[in-house]
Amino acid sequence: MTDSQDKDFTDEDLYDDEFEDTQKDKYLTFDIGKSVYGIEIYYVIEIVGIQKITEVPDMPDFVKGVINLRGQVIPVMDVRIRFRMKQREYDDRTCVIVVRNDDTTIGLLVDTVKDVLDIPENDVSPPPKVSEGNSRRFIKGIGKSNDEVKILLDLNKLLFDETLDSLPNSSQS
Amino acid sequence: MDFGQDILDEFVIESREHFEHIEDEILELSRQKESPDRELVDKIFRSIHSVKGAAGFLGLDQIGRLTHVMETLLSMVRSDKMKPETYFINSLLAGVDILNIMLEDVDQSNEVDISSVYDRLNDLLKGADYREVRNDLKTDICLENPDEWEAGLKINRLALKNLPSAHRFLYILKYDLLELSKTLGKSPVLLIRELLDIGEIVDSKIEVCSRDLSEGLPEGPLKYFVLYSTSLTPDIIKSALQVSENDIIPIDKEKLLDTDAGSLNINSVIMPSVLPEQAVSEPHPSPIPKDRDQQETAPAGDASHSEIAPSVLPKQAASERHRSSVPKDRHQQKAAPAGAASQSEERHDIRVDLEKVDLLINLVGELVIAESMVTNNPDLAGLELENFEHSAQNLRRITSDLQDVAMSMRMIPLSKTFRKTVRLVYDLSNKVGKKCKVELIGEETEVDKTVIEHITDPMLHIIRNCVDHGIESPEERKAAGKPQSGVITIEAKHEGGEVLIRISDDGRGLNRENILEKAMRVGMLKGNKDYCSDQDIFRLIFEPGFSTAGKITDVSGRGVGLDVVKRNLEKLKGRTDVRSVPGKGTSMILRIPLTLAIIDGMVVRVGTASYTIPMLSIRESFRPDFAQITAPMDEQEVVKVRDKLISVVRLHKLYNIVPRHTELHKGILINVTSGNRSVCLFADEIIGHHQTVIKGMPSYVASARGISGCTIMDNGDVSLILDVGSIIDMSERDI
Repeated sequence: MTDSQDKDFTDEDLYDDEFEDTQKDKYLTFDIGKSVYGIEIYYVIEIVGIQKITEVPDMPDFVKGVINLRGQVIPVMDVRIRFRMKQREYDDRTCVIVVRNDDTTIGLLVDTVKDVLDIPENDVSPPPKVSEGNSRRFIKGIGKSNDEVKILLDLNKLLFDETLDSLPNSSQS
Repeated sequence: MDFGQDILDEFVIESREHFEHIEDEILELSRQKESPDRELVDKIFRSIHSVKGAAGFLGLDQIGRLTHVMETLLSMVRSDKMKPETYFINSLLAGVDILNIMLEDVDQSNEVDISSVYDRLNDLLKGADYREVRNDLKTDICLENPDEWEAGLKINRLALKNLPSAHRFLYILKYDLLELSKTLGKSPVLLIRELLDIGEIVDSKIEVCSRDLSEGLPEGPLKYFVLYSTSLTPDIIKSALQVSENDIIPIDKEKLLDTDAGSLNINSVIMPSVLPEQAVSEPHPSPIPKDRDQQETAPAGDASHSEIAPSVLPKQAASERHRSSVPKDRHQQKAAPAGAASQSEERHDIRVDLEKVDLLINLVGELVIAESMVTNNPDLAGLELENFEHSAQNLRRITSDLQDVAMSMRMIPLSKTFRKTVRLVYDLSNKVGKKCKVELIGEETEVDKTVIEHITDPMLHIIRNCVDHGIESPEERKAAGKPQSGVITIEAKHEGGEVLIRISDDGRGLNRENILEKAMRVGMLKGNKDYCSDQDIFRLIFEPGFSTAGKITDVSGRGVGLDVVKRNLEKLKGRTDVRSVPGKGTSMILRIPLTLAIIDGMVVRVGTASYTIPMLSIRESFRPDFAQITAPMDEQEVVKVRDKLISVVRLHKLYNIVPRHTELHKGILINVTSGNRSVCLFADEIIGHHQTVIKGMPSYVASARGISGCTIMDNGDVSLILDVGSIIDMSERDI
């Protein structure tokens, strides 16, 4: 029952204006390598520890496979590899951030989860024109919080951009 | 008090139920042109009548009009004034079709253009020789009771005569709908349904300005009067319908029949209270009363004679029996058996949202996994836990029973799908000018609902082919020494874990040469045709773009068809097969797993990955000897099993995994089949065998080749289910 309740809960979130307002400008931040990244809290369903991943063949390297989230089978993506960074051994700090965008529920493998930050819109600047690494195309903006820089990600691009465009979006789930 | 939409919804659902059977019944009637079965006609009549009643109640005028004319037509068949000719049947079917359309969007039903069908039915009515019926129709008797209601309740002699013969009693019932829904929580629709269960509503009346109850009930008492015909005595009806004595007015049917058209004060036809003893002591007659026999044998034309000379031969008087009011005749009519429906065993069911059932099944699936994770928990290993074992055993039994029950909730009989085919064949054979009969065997076979949804189209497709290509024209059949009318047999049965549906016709059979020629021409088949077995050639008809039909007909022949069948079946993990004997006919065999929700599978390990192979597709598993393995020049390894050479598919190569073993004789080979093709899958080892709920692959990763879904194993890990058919396809493409 738990996971359907979870779903209901997020559904309500989607339609409850008041709730949306309290979620506005809130970001969940996490570490990958030396940088701190953030995604809008609105998409986040839950955070779970690393668990056994079943590999799925024919997937791009950053799709590590599927996990069993209390009876629901969801794919997981290693964000490091998505950014073309070197794979790192998973340890007890490794987290899976379960996010949902439209009908896709997916787990994001990150080095570690930090906290939830409030970054108002005027503290967010557009992504730099030139930036090192492959993560640039997933960046929505650069947020400033307490003089620290957080890289805010565009979840939609992170999930579906280019390399995955060839994936047929069949409605099997 | 908001049940406007509810009432409409309920009406639609119920009408649908009525129409579902009506189509078959009408088709059945078409086979009894000369002597229509009275009970069958009664059944159709009653269904249409119920819909008409409710439609009038809800202000659905168009539906009311259409059902009214259909009802009148049927009542003419009922009284032998009309024969169910083909045109008659087709018109009725057209009526049912348009009614179904109107039911789709019942709110707009009053805007639907029914004129063409309505006129067609009406013309039938006009064209018929129905002098007597017309006379009867004209005899509108208006029951008046100025104290109670303004307008009278209407009944005409035709309706009166057509009441089921078991209905010995006629009442006027008084209800206060508002009171009813307040105190008993009974909605008008519920009331009507109750009434229709045990009798017939002849006419009804509501004392209210607007008849459209979908707007909700107005304030104040809402009087509802029903002219009600039933077989129940006043005593029983009181308790059955929960009506107080004062609200039941028994009506003397005979007096009513003797009355001419016009208004009639109700007081003159009130029946003196019926003695219950009299009702009970009446002898129960033989199932078929004498007068019905007579009626069936009476020539249709005779009826008009008897109008002129009311008391001639009893045979001629048969259809006049209501009016002749000879006590003996009446007696027989009264004593006729009750409707068949009331005798058949009652089935209790409730309507449940499919989503709820699915949720339940999912949860039960989780429960099964959770149960096994608890009882096989590694923490328990090596412990002596007698009591725990005992309880665990119990839990296991209950979960497994629960799973069976939950799964059975999704199972529904194939009969509905089968019945669709009857109509299809009827329509098609008329269209192409062939004569076909359908024989249904095993329509009670139960299959998962999803399976039914997916096989309906393929089945209809195959049947279309049967009629169009399989069955010959009557002339051809005659020349071939076959009966003019072709037979299409549709058979379903359970076989192992599968349901088998066989659709066969006794037509001309597949033409091996034609298929070969066509296949060579479009390049589907290369090489020497002499090597092809019949099976291989016949299977070509399932390929896309294949159609040997000389001309494209309205029915089939555009070269899309059987490949759709194959594709649909593959989605269901089903298989198709075809058998054909020239001149004798063709059989299409569809094999489909009983359910899509549960898999019985063998788990194999390759490197660190584990895969589930459906048990149904496994033939055997073995560790090969050196001597069995051959690797020819093109590197496609083959293994010799008994006399057959089977190619090997290395799962680790297919899926790019680092395996523990690369030598065939150290791992294990699993011989799997799909249709008539077979390969050996190479894996490290077999881990076990399990039965669990199938889950779809998340769409994000659904592009994985050769994977049909996934399942959660006892230890909570996810295992991918291999799709043997597409793995074989993949390996063949590689060669």
